Amino acid sequence: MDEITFTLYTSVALIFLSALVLRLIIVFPATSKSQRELKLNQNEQTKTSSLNPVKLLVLLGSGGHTGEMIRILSQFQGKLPLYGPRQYIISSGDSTSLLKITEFEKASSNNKKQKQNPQKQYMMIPRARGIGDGKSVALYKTIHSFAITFQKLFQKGLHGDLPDFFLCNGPGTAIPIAYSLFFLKFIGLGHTKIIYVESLARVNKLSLTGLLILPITDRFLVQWPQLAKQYRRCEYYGMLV
Amino acid sequence: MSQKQQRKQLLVTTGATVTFTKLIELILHPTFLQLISSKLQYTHLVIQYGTSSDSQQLVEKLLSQIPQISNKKISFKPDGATTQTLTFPVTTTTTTKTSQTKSTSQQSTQSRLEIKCILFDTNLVANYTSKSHLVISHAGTGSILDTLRCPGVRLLVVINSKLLDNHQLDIAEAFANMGVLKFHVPFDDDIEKKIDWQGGKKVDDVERESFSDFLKLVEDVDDCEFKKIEPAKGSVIEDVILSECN
Repeated sequence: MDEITFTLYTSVALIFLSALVLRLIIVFPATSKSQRELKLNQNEQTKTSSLNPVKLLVLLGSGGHTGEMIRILSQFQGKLPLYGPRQYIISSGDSTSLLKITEFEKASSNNKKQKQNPQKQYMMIPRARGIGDGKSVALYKTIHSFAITFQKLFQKGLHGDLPDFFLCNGPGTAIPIAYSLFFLKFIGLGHTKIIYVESLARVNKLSLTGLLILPITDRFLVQWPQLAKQYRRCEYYGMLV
Repeated sequence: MSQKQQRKQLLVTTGATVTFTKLIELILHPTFLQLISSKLQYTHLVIQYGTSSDSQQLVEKLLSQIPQISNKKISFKPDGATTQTLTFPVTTTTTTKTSQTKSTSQQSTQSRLEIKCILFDTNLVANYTSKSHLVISHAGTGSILDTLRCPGVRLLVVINSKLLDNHQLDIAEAFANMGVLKFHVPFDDDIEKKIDWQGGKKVDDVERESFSDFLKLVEDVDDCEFKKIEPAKGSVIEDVILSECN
């Protein structure tokens, strides 16, 4: 290989690499300048009504996670104009979460504050790990779950159907979904912003899921003040559930 | 003095699935039942014991060990509920003063306690929690919040040390620091027998001390005014999303 072709190849590779890094910087939430300050006085309601409706995807993790998420959703006051049905992700076989959310939706459809979205969409993804699974089975199931999650979201991306916001509060199932959405944003298929709410049960330390998801979240909310002091980018506004 | 006792209810909730053996044992103990019935004047005790099959066996076993029930047959309804009524002797000392004599008469009455055991109720808050004077609960965030959001209901949390993921203690401590509840860490002999407990004290003694601590705490909480918890701020999430919409 002579010197000219070598220079050519390396410069192409370098340009490609720096383009990738540049893209990563653009999509990386930690490096973007979003105002992380909230005006908690709601005098500017007129502004919100002129906003474009948003597509919202909500993860219902399981047990306590689903419980906390429903407590949060039940406090929504209809300030958020939604485009299309509210979308939910549920682990396949998690019949309790499905039951709870359908009950919640039934109750809130009677509530005038939340009147805007009569239709709901449910997306099922396979469980990452069943209780009592061995390590190899768990590993296989995790990869399988990751693949299915990615495939489903990729297809949504091809149809231009990815949500504007992904709201989640754990457990581990949130990770494949969030990273798939982040990757799709990286390659330009989507633009989903990720909002994570740490469980109330985490008082002094973030959960592993929280730590892993923190770098790619656009907003990260905690429910105890000491966590917001301890970790960068964590926001605390009081107990949310 | 009214002859009829006012309804005063104590709810014990152990969570939906996991059997919280220690908590059920603390509650279905004759001494505890005697205390809440004759001294604290509870008329109703509701125990939500969870859907696993060994919970029901445990409840049945403990009920049959209570002297007032021991010779009766305990039957569960198809939905896992059972109701037992117990009576406890109460001695009230009344001092009557007349001009010349001062007579002290001891009256023996009986206090009735209705114990209702249920598997689970999807409407636990509306049916039981909100109607209770005191709730003794496991340390799950769901149960804690359900109770704290009911005005006027006192909460005592019992930690399940058998659960591996012990954020339970963290969360109970954090809430106790806010002054909205009190908590108890029971002595669990399965775990602690192996440890040389407090410089060679007998396990039985430590367990007895821990139980009487629990009884004192129940008396304390029964008569305690807690701070109110601040309302939930979940609608902040809407504002967060809106502020990202620009």
